Amino acid sequence: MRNVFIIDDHPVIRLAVRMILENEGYCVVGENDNGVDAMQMVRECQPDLLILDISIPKLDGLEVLTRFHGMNVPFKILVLTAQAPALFAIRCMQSGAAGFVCKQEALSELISAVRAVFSGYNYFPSQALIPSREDDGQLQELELFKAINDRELMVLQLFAQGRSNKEIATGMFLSNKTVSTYKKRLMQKLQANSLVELIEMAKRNALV
Amino acid sequence: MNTIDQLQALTGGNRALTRRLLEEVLRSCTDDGQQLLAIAHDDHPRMVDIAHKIHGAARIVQARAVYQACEALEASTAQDDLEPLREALHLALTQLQAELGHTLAELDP
Repeated sequence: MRNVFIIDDHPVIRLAVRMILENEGYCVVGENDNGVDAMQMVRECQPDLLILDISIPKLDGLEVLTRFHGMNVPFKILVLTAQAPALFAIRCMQSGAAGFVCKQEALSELISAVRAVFSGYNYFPSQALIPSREDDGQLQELELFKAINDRELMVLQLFAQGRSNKEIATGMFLSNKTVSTYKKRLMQKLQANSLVELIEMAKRNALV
Repeated sequence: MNTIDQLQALTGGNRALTRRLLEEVLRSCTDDGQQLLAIAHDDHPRMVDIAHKIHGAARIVQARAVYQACEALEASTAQDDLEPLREALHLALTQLQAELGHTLAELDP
């Protein structure tokens, strides 16, 4: 019950993960850099645990996860990724992963997760456990949106569509500076730290 | 923690393993750098993809300058001028390579 298979598109990560696992006495039975080949190899290697990145080429890691889960495979799957936990941890949990570890964390976190999963526990960051309060979060966000006036909302929508400051300025007959002011005000009102966050929020709330 | 300390932490201080990991990081710096330069200057999605791929590895080996340059590229939009961001990432990779090249040479025969 200690055989592990690694799927990650970066050779440094595969090697580093292999080393720390072997150091802990686990046996790495195989590794691969893409989802399509890995689907085949994993069947042959019969691991007890699959460590999976969710942004691997060919077949997206989430897709690999969903397929294996649908096939009722006998091994557990632990997601190791640089994707944002707030957006992806819940999704992975729902798709049948036994755990979720961020590459932003120290790799010792991965060992804790592997131990937990082999002991029959699931291992997720606490953000992933928020879904029970998801409606609350959604409501809170909608509350924030109330403070946004029509004009700001329009600017936000254009940002979310991928328009640049300049394009928005031209389209709305504003100066570049005014568009920047709108952006700042939007970030303030929606409590976002970046334009990327703003856009995510817009998408989450079906603005685009 | 700097990169070599991090590599040693990952290998539990085992010299042979540290050497192997160091060599892999150096090889990846070259490969990633070449792939990065091969992308068309306006191919935003591929630029973001490779930045994301390098980001994960750079985090694991604690190569701060590299992952910060990745973050900047990942946060860019299709309208941004990607060239300075790409150059910054390529420079960070080259510097890491130079730094680790010295470390490898000093590591032992």
